[in-house]
Amino acid sequence: MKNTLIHLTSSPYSSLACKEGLDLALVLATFEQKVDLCLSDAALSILTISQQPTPEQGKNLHKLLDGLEFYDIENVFIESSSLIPDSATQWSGITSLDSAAWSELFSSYQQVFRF
Amino acid sequence: MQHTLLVTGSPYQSKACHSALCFARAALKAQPDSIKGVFFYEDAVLIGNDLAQPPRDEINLKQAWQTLASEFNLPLYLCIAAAVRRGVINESESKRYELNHHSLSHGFQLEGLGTLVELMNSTQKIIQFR
Amino acid sequence: MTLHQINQLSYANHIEPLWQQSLKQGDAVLLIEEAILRLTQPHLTSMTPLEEKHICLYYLQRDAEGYGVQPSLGKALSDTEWVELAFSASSHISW
Repeated sequence: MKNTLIHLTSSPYSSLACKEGLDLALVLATFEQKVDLCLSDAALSILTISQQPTPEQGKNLHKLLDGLEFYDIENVFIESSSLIPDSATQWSGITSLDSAAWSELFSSYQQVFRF
Repeated sequence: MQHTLLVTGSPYQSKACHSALCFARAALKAQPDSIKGVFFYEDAVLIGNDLAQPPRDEINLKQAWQTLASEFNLPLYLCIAAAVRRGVINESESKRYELNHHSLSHGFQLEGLGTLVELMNSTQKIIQFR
Repeated sequence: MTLHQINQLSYANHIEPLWQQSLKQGDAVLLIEEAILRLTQPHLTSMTPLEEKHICLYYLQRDAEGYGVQPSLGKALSDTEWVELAFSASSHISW
């Protein structure tokens, strides 16, 4: 079995990339593959609580985050300098990595797919 | 040891389908069973739209993939969810959605992401073109 | 050896520094498609630090010919050599 990192970089509401990346993560987990997520750039906005996207903007992907643990997706990494953690406004299930650990992350998986 | 190709870039907004084609052609020419399958995901599934017609003085990318696939018996999978939402529909999906038309070109097949997982676990690694 | 496949002249936002920081000694970088332009002026300077990190830099002969550029850095690969390099890598990242 291979371990996979799904790297989300696109905004949840500017294209399908973020959704299709999450779909792949969920399918991998359903097939009992080891998969972690990491977020950077515009994809960080998926963490914001109280999102109310219209149908034109897209599906509310934030709602999927709470379900990740049921798929045994345990790790959602971010780089600590990319986001100031605030549990009042952001999803709290993330793991913050310092810059060194963050860049190390991408060589610790057999497969990395970016969306 | 066999490899899997994963193509995610649009045939119109990226060179992913073109680069993957050149790679697959060279790989299969050197060793005819070196690629177990090609999985198209995201906008790359548009490669399987039978109705798309490139201008006659440009490369027909879909046809080039079909020729390669038939020469080397290479399976070309399109993610079914990604394809159906983009209007690339086979006969059975057409019936299911009660449509009058289908648009999937020959040589391509619609499969779930589970097929990608199978390829992943039965080949040495996945090489992505985005 | 991880093979890092680079297909753009420049990546948006944090991806550009990230792929460079994630390189490890012994890794290889392959420039494909428009990334061949990284081997032309004025972009060339961003590729020179790779040598200090002992990273092998490759590009495709087909791209050099297609874009009409004659790189002074990196090693040209035929499509056959490209396949050999990609298959021999322990992992492959498409940035």
